[in-house]
Amino acid sequence: MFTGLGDERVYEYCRGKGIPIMLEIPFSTRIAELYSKGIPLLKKCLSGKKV
Amino acid sequence: MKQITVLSGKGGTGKTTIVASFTVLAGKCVVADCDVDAPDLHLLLNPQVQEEDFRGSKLATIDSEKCIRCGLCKKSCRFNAISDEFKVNPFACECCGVCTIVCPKKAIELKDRISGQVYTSKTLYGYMVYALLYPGESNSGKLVSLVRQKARTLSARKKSDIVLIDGAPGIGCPVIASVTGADAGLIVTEPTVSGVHDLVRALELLAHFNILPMVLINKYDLNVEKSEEIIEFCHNMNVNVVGKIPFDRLVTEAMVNGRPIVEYAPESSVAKELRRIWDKVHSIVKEGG
Repeated sequence: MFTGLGDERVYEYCRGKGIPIMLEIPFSTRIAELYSKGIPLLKKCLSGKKV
Repeated sequence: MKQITVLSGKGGTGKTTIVASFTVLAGKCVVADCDVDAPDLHLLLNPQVQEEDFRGSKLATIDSEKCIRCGLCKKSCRFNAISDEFKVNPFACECCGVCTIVCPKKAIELKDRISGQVYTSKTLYGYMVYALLYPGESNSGKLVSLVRQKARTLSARKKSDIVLIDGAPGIGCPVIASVTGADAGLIVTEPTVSGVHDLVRALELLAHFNILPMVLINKYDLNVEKSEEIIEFCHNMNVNVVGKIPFDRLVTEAMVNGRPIVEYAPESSVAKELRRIWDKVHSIVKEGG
């Protein structure tokens, strides 16, 4: 789920339905730039570099 | 009447965002949301539904009173849609009708079922036709064709000269249904590896159906180098790049607020560029004859 934008609607929905939120990804130009080059987000994160 | 289809190949490039703004800018137009699997445009344009209709398909139905459980239907069904208890699985049944032919007791009939809803509606900016395919149903291409047919009729009745079509991602059946017979196809792409890959496929699709292609690069500044590559590629293919839009948080903000960006932030650079692009697209399509 992308976070930092919008309101609580998705959180409320998931809570109501008992759906766990596994990962929250912030709205970030840096991530979008990585994606544009075809670099998976997790690859950068796991390599220890902060996004 | 001119029909402009907005497509992208890759999902999430900004089709609906752009169609919502074009709808505002076009003034008197009919807009058709042809992404019937996941329609979202109505969330931005707040239409008031005036007319509701449905698209039906067929489903094999076994009359258990007449059924002698001979198993011929089950054996003949190539979709494995008939269970050991002689019940039809509605998701597997393709309504080919073979079971109705082989059944010695005439116990099977193809009955009507509803596979999606179609809405004709009015928005602040004109008219809108959209549909919702029921989850699990197939044949979204046929539902798209119905949406387009209704949009054309409405456009003729309301004397609007533009039909804007918001297509689905991909290049398959529902997308083919949303581009056939259109006067132009505007491909919204983004400077990403997958965006470019799918842009090429979308261009091939338009070339195949002999539809005038145009390209809009959204979020172009995420990768300026790749944007330049797209521009050069299109130039070599003789395809018009009608404009490029920067990556801007405002666009997402407008979306979260459920409003078209040209209305939410009319003075933003994105809105200005969108106005320029719409004028260009409109004049190219008008000149098309």
